[in-house]
Amino acid sequence: MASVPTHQSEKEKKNDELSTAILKDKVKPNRLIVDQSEQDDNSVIAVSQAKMDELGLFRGDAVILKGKKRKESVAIIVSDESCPNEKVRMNRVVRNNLRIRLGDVVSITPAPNLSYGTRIHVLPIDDTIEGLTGNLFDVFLKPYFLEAYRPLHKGDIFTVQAAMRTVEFKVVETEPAPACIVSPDTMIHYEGDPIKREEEEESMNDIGYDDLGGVRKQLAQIKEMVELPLRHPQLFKAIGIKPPRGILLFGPPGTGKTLIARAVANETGSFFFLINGPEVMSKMSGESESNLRKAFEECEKNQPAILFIDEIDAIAPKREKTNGEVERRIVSQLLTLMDGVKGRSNLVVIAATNRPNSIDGALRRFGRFDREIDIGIPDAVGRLEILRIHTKNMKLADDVDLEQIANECHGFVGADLASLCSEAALQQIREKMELIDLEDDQIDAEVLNSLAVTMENFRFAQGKSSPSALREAVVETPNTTWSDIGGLQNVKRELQELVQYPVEHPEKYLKFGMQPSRGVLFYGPPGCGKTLLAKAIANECQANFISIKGPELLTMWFGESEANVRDVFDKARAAAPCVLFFDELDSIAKARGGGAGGDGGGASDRVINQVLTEMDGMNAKKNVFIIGATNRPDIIDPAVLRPGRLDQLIYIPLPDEASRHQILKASLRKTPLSKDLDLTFLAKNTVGFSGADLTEICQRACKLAIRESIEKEIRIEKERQDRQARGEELMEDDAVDPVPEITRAHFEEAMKFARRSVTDNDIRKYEMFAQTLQQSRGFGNNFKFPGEQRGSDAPSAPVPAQDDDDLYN
Amino acid sequence: MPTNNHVQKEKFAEDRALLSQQNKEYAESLAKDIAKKEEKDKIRFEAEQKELRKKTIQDYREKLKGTVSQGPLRLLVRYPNGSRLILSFSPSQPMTSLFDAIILNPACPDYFSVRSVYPRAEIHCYPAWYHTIFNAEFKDETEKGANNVAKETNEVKCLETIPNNSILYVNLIQ
Repeated sequence: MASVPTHQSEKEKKNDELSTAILKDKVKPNRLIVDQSEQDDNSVIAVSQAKMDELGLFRGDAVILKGKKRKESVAIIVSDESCPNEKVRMNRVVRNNLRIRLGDVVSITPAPNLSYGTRIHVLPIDDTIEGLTGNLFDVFLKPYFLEAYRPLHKGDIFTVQAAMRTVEFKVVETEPAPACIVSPDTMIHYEGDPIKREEEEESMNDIGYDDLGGVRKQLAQIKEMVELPLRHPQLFKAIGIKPPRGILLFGPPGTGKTLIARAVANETGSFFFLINGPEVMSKMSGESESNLRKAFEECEKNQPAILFIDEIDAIAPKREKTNGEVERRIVSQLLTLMDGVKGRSNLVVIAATNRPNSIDGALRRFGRFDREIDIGIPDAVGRLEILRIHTKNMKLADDVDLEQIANECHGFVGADLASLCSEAALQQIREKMELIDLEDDQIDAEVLNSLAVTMENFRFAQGKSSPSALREAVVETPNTTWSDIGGLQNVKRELQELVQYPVEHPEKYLKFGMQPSRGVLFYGPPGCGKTLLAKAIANECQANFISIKGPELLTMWFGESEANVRDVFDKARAAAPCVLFFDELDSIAKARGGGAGGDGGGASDRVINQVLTEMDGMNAKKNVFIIGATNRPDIIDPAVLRPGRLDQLIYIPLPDEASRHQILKASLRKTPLSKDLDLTFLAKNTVGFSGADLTEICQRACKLAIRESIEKEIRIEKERQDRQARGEELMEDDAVDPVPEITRAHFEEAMKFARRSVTDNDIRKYEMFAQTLQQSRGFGNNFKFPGEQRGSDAPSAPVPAQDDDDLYN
Repeated sequence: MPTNNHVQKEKFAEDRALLSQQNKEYAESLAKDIAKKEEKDKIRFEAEQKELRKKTIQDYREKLKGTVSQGPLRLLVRYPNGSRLILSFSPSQPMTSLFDAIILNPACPDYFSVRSVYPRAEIHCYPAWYHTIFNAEFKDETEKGANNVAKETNEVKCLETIPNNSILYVNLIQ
């Protein structure tokens, strides 16, 4: 069940836009996609002539380039007629200086004030001049710069090829800084020790914002709370507030909390210090606190800094709940250190946990971890983003539909999706294993080229995976369909309207300002198919299905029953879209205040209070649909039935003749039947039978047929043995199936034991309940106005005014 | 009487030597003074010549003030201080039009050369009078074998030899 849009005020829309405004990439004509350069010049990039004209650039003009992680460089721009208009071509040296790869986006700006350099200082990288003798300047630098007017940016690296060698130089200094043009008058200094290669290596595999998927809103919040204070502290000073110092990320495991923290550190260029909660613990007295202090001191020395505490619940549990003295001291130390940060600047502490409610409350107050960000389970759009990231470097076959996969992986977190992609790729390798000879040193290039992960591989992986967030819960993906349910056509149609209309026609709900219903209560005699209906709804909506029986929620421990209710609703929200089914709802949702009922502790009252609270906490965007089922609607607490909760009451009546016929057909769908068996006649003679009763009749008939078949086969075998003993020839007729199908006789015998599980008196009670609630859907057959003179038997026909007059005659 | 005569003779010789020394010193001092004066005159003359040449250039700038050129040929000129100037010409205009436009900008040094990078080439655009002044300014360097003397202007060349949308770099020469 997709998200149902609701009517939003203009103010809410604006707030929604503002909450992610920081993430928007501004669309500008000077943002181009990086392509491979066809001429290998470190100082030259190429774009189309149309783009040159659009940006007002001259051939050979100097431009400023901005890449990833605030990297900036300068280059000469020329036109290339074969270059597409939205692309820019540059060689590997320029790309490395900007920390970008092919396909990334780079921005190009004219450099109108770039002046000639008075002097520059460059140094070679040590491994590129190993064994090289002679004058670096005369052989490498002078020819490189002579009459070329190359722009240089401090910190850049450029390569020069000469004398059969390639030497890498780093621009150590430029005057004026940070960039200049090397003209004939520029002095070039190259004295000094070569630069070590290790000091120069920066990993191109650092995680950045582009590596995160499905957390767009959370990323916006983090950028506001972390990146803004670290890079622009004056913003907060100007407005007169202190920036946030502590952020708590919480959510199920595998949703990317640690990944987010690492990406933020890389993108902001801040010093990043990681603490794993359990690592801080030490058996030596006082050493755990000392580890915490050292971490804070290290961060303060390297400002701006981000301190990340993973699994903070391991070191900072609620102090009143912990058994150890050590944990209490660590919590106190952490509180002290967090308060100490307040006076200083440029240090942000990010903590992550799966259980936010297990953390000491003092840590969550204002001034400490006062900002909490829910890194929840991604929805379909988020899952698609994550899948695209993980399959970016995978070779996919043409039939792979990532959108379909994303739609089907309900409840999958980022780690689950990564595992899914790995499993699919492994399956593809397994399929090609017969082409791979493990004895060979190299795999055939033809085999490598034929490797491509297919949709079938993903299907296989989906079959092996399950959402990790739901492993604790018994979550089904039901395979019951509408066709498995006989009869109840009106109920089916009504349920389809109830569930599918909001999905297919959201604009109608917006137009009339209506919230779609979030819950439905099935009531009616037992055995009429309420549970089957709930499963079929989940299947139709491609939703997960959680079935809860009332007594499962009740435990003997004080307060645990309410906790169970919360857990169930949390799991349902995590597994959205999800159908949450409460079977035997009357066992927990009785009318409150029944003190005389013997429930000394009032646990049932508290449980129903918790259920009602959780129902109110749901909103349509969470895509959780609640279905309750009961045989005793009269004892249900009226609060459960009011609008906004289980406000749709659907009476599942005893099946009528046509429905009974359908039920019989559905029950016997896979059973061989005799041609002369008349199910219609059977339906006529089972008035008042419930669906379960009818199913029992069918099963009993099958049982009788099986019994007869076994008995006859035993007898036939005995006769065959007797004839064999007498030396007679075996007849071919012996192989015939003695009971090829169910016959009238089987059903006649089964009907002898048939019984109705619902009495007429029960039926009248349900119908009176339906009338009382004014929720009848027209299934009552016994309603008649006294004195009605028309011959019409339609039970739901509206009463004309004339009949009212007749009442007063 | 011979003793008296000897002493008198010695004194005379001594006086004669002293006179000769004094005469020599006077001659040297006089020569030095003359050379110093000549040098000073020369320096002043050279300075006057430099000022005269500079004034010639400034007067030329004043005369050019307000001159504008238009046409389809677009060129970008970069100056050593980082400023830039966009010019428009008709391709049939003479090279000296480019010279006029370049020197008109206050960012232009008095003595400069012009180069383009794409394509890589020296741009010869001096008018004859500037060529004369340039050679006079750097005459001493010429005599010492310096290689920065501007070459003869080819008056018959037109601007169409420069590709459209080119960038020209102005280099300070001193």
